[in-house]
Amino acid sequence: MLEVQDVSVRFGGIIALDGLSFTIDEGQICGLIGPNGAGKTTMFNVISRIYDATTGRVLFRGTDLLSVQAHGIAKLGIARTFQNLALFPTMTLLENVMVGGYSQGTDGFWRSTLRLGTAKAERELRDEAGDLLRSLQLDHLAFRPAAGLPFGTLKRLEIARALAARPTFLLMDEPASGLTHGEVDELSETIKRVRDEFKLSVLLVEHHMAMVMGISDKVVAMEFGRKIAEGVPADVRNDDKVIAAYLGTSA
Amino acid sequence: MTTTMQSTSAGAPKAWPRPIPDSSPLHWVFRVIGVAVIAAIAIYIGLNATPSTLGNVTEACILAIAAVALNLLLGFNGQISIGHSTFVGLAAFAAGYTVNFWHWNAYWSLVLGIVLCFLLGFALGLPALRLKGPYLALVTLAVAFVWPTVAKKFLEQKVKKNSLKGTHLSPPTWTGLVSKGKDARLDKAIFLYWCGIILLLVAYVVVRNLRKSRIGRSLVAVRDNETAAAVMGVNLKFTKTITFGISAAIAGTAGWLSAARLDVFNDTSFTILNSIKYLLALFLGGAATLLGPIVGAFAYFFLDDYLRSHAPHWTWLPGQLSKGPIASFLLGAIVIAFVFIAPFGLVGFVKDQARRVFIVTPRPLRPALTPSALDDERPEESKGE
Repeated sequence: MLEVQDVSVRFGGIIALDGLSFTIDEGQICGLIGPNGAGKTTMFNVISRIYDATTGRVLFRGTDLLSVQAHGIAKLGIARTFQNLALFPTMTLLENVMVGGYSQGTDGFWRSTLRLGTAKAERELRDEAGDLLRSLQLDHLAFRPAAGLPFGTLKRLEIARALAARPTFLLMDEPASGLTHGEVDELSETIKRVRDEFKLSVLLVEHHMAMVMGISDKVVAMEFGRKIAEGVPADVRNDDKVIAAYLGTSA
Repeated sequence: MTTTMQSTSAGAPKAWPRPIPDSSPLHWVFRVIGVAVIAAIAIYIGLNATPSTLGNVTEACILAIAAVALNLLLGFNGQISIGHSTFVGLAAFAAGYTVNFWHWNAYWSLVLGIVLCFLLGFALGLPALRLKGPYLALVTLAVAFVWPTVAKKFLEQKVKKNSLKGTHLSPPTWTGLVSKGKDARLDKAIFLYWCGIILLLVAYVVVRNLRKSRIGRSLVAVRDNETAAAVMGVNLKFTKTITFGISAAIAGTAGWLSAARLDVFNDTSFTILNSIKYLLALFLGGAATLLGPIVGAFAYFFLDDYLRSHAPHWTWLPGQLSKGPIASFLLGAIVIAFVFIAPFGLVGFVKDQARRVFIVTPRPLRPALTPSALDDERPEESKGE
């Protein structure tokens, strides 16, 4: 479904990604792990078209993503969450999720200005956004602005907002960071549940090893912009290079 | 009623603030009363006011239209512009020139003004794609500074005079405002007053409709977080440039109205000071609220007007302050004080106060689709009957 082929990203003299290749199959949860600075988020930003790749290709169901603009990604069925929250703080939770459904709508400037035939789509979007909030146990906060709510709540809101785009491929950038133990377990369940419920493939960047190993069908390990291991969690966990990358080598 | 009393008997139910469900009959009553009061005031002024009062209200409408335009751009989309006086000036010049020299119909000159302003606004939106905050303010500031020079060159080369005549928009016959002689001034003032009210209403409806739509949400999303908005599928370039264009086009209608009202105007009629006034009116009323710019514009205009004629002349003040009435000094002091009292503008202040009495509760979410809920077809909820 997703094929990353030999992708390199350079920022000036810094090589953030160096010939990275991996694939994700339909319905898989793929964990992307690696020490800080390994290039995980860079890979993410290449797929969601915030960064350009210097070389290489990213194929999503046959479409070359690198020829698509950032705003075209959502329409292809790719949604993402952000590591440090990128919500719309002045908007209510409901509105945040409704913006998530932007790519599903068609009302442009003319029709919006004249308010011609926009009511039905608006009502349906609102209903669906409400369902998504409920699905992530956020419905009681639907009319509160996003600013000032607890971190764990906002992380769930990010997931709800991403799902509003009706994605088939969900990118999650460190969804467990900053969460408590209990919240992490709950999150693992949530991710598996939405994967099944919305028939998603998931690419998960995460430092929380127990969680990644627990829910991933496949893990890709990175170090210094390169892939050092790829496979089922048990194999990657026991890979010598991965252990060395995380624990350091003995002299 | 009794059941709700019983169920909340543990803690006494709070009577105030009273919840009013969105779009409930009571909510509609409030809305209709609000609209009726405003319409009644507008009609009363239109029927009874003197030409000079009508002229003042029209002038306030011009300020309000420009502030509404700026609100769309700055309040909702987060792009600052100190160059809006340029759009007002451009449309005024376009109207004055085409009507006086090409003998255009004044209403076609409105269309021309709107198109020109949209195009210039769109073009200005292009550098705005790469600039934010103070940097964008500087670029638009430069535009506001360049305009008088351009206007002066235009007057020298095309008009061959140092000013341009107004469009002398006269009321069409169907309005019945066609008296000759002494009453002609009043008739013209009444007509321009209604032009101002209608253009302001149109500007308000356009911005309101936009805000309450998919596009409006995307504008606020771009303001709040550009990267996230792009990932949600919002085309940043398109959205920001078109918004700049629409805002400029709305400001253009204010310029057209100015050209219809003024006898003559020149390169110094639409300067950066006008832009600052639009900004002041917007923040006085409340940015990113629908009514804020209108309330702010009227409040600013009539406060300014009142102070000009009533401000005291204190000779004991030091320096320049002793040389005349202290109107502008008082206006500045009031605006500064106001920023502390009501940082979210007049509308924000009133909303906060009103929230102690009434809270409009949003329409509830669609109930969960559980099998049981699907089975029993519940009748329409009847409340308190």
